[in-house]
Amino acid sequence: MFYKQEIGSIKKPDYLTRTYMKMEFNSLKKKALEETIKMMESAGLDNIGIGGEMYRWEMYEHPVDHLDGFVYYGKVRSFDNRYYKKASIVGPIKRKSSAYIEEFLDAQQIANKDLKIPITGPYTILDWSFNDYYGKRIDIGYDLAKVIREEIIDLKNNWQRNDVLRIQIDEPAASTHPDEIPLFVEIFNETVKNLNDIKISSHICYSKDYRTLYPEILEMKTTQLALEFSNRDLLELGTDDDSRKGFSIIKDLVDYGESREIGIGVIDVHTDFIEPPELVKDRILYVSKFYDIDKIVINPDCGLRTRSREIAYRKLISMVEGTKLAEKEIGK
Amino acid sequence: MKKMLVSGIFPRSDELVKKINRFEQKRDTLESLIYTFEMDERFWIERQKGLSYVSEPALSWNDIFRPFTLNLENVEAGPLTRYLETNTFFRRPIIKNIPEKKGSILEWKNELGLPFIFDKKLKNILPGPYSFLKVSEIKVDIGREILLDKLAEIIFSEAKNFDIVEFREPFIQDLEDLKKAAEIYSTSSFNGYVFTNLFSNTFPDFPLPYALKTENTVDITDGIIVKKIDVFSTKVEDFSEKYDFPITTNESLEFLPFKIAILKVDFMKNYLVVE
Repeated sequence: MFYKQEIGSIKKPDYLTRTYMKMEFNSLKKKALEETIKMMESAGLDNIGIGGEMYRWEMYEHPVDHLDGFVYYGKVRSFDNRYYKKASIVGPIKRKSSAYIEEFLDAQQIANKDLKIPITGPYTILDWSFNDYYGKRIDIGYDLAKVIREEIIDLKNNWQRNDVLRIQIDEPAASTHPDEIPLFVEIFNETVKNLNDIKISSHICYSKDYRTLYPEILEMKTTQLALEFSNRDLLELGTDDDSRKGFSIIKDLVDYGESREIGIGVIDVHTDFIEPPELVKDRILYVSKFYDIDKIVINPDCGLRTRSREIAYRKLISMVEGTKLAEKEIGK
Repeated sequence: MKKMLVSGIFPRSDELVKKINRFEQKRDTLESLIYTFEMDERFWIERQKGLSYVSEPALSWNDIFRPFTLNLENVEAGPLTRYLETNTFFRRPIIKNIPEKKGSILEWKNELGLPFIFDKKLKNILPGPYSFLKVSEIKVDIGREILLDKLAEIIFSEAKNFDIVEFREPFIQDLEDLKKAAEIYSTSSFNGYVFTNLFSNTFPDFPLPYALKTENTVDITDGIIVKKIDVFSTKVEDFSEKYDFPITTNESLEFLPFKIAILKVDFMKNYLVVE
């Protein structure tokens, strides 16, 4: 059986979105968490992440709001008319409070399926911030690695289940600066150094070219890379190279020596098009031809927060159905 | 006399961002949106008075290629693509056949129905044809040279509407790129003042001054401009050294939060006054 997992965020229910920056947000977020976990479990996922990140407004702002040393001067464009609050580092980075523990404890109570806690990685926070304080980027990276590591240790100390604690470190900025890949790997490894009994995975998305991460990324202390491919793939059915242009790059990663678990994004999160299960199946079968099937994990390209909850649900169902079709064909 | 000018797209105010969101959610009218948009436009134009050149802020542009990806026949706005080494994304142009013009750029509108405002007397930006083609996904079996010539023809013909044009070529990243782009510009029939913002930040220390002049054009930078105003830092510059070259921002001002962008423009004006 292929392991089917969510990657991160799901759009919040309207009743929660309307309470942004208001006190009511705190009283409604657990309700939204329960509803989202139920939705993800009913879609048939094996792993529901942290239930769509209902306690977090945004993957960058959320951890930064729990750190000292940052100040916001305003927003900058992400794309089109989508803007994000980009903080400036104006002092030494220190941990103010836990960014994840409350959500983590609540999700453990509610969820029946496996959990995987997404955490914004140090390199991404570094790269997505203005730096008005530190002399060198590596110094920012080490201070961020320290505070995120403390956060992970806190989570470990509050893990109440018998299965292994899964932490997914999100690093969408990993490939932004090709000349900084060694820096990215160094900071990542510093973050997870000697964290035994925790399954560390990493999610990297919307890379210009994943090949630029190699060979340095082979040194990254992670058990799984969850990557995005469907965004670049065709919608036609087929399991040949021409049909699966978005996934053929995985062959190059294998040539570089990649053999860890790979979470393949079989659902495009930037379109409302519901991938038919047959397309999901073909995407999985294509990768299965040249990657160890026991190391293939199934997930969407990224968090589905840009889609409506209904579309996200239908996409997840299609992902699960397509995975079952692939399993049947492979005899897995 | 030294020159100071801002390059690229300017940041939208929080109010304009909110207004666009409300309009997209059908909670506000186009008329109301246009009012806020024009207020922002006027704000930036007024704020720049004192700089060597006042730039049209291009607030309706969602990225530097968008007017053309939206308004050319056989070209579409494609998937989100990272803009250089930033956390901002543009819609990659998809070229499905030889691009053709649909009317004049002066009549084009963006996705929301906002006009792409150009002012003959201000510095207006246009995408450079070389970068446009370089980042495009080409889905037609036609030689790149033919497509480049066609894009250049379209873009240069639109440039004739204005006195001063900043051709943005952020994807010129090495000498080979530069040579190819220079050839296109040298054969252009554009007649006026140009500011070819040539070099990306991944290639900041280009060793040669390079003015893309033709018989009819004058490069307002004489081929060199110092990208001294850092849009990737919120710390406002406080240098007072004199430079022999014109000074501008190292990328679009829109990479800064609105209120920091204002402070940087003010610094640029004050620098000229002190000088």
